[in-house]
Amino acid sequence: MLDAFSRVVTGADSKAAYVGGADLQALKKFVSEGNKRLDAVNAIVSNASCIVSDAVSGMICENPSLISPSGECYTNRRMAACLRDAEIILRYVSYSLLSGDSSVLEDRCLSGLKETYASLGVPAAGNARAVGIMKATVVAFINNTSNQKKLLTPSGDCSALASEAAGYFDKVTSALA
Amino acid sequence: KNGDLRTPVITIFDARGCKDHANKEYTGPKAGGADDEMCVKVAMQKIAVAEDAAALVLKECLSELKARKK
Repeated sequence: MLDAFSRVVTGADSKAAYVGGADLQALKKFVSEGNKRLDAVNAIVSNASCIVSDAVSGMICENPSLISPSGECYTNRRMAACLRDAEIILRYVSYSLLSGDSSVLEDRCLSGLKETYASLGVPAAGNARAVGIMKATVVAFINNTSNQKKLLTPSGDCSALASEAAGYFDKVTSALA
Repeated sequence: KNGDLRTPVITIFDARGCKDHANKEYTGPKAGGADDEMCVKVAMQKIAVAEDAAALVLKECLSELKARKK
């Protein structure tokens, strides 16, 4: 399990080379824009329950059969499990954004997730939709373009961080497909 | 996965400019700047969602679906 620094060091080590050039510049940028990254992570983790419940509600409103008696979110216990799983994915994405690397997300969350859901009979389409809604919400929070909730963070261009977070959500969607 | 539902929960302490209390979260060497007034905590915690919280989300969905039907 790596982060932005250990990935660069491991890569250089495997080539028996010093860290330098573009890798070193990328790490310098990672450090100099650290506070921006922390603000982005804070925007996610301090609104985690809101982001998760919005995503699950959106998924259900688009497919109400999920809460019908034969649906996968029928009974509060199943709905609670659905909210829990969405929160776990969101927390791993927030950790990936903090560390600047997706290896922890891939190793500890996504590895075998599709097979687990398939064995439990959880539909992939619903999952992908909930992840898609979380992605849209997180990107809006990081760019501070959310219509109904403006965050009190310093203004600045966070589009690179938003794209990075979107990339982690895309990894989740690909893993579930 | 595999019964281990613990996940990294990040808490960001940002006390920049705060004079109300002494910062005690970070105890390592100081940097001599604004970084000394910030701390990031990552803890592996078990995520659990109570059934009554799930019931609230369900209620929200039902009222939204009802409003759409009107």
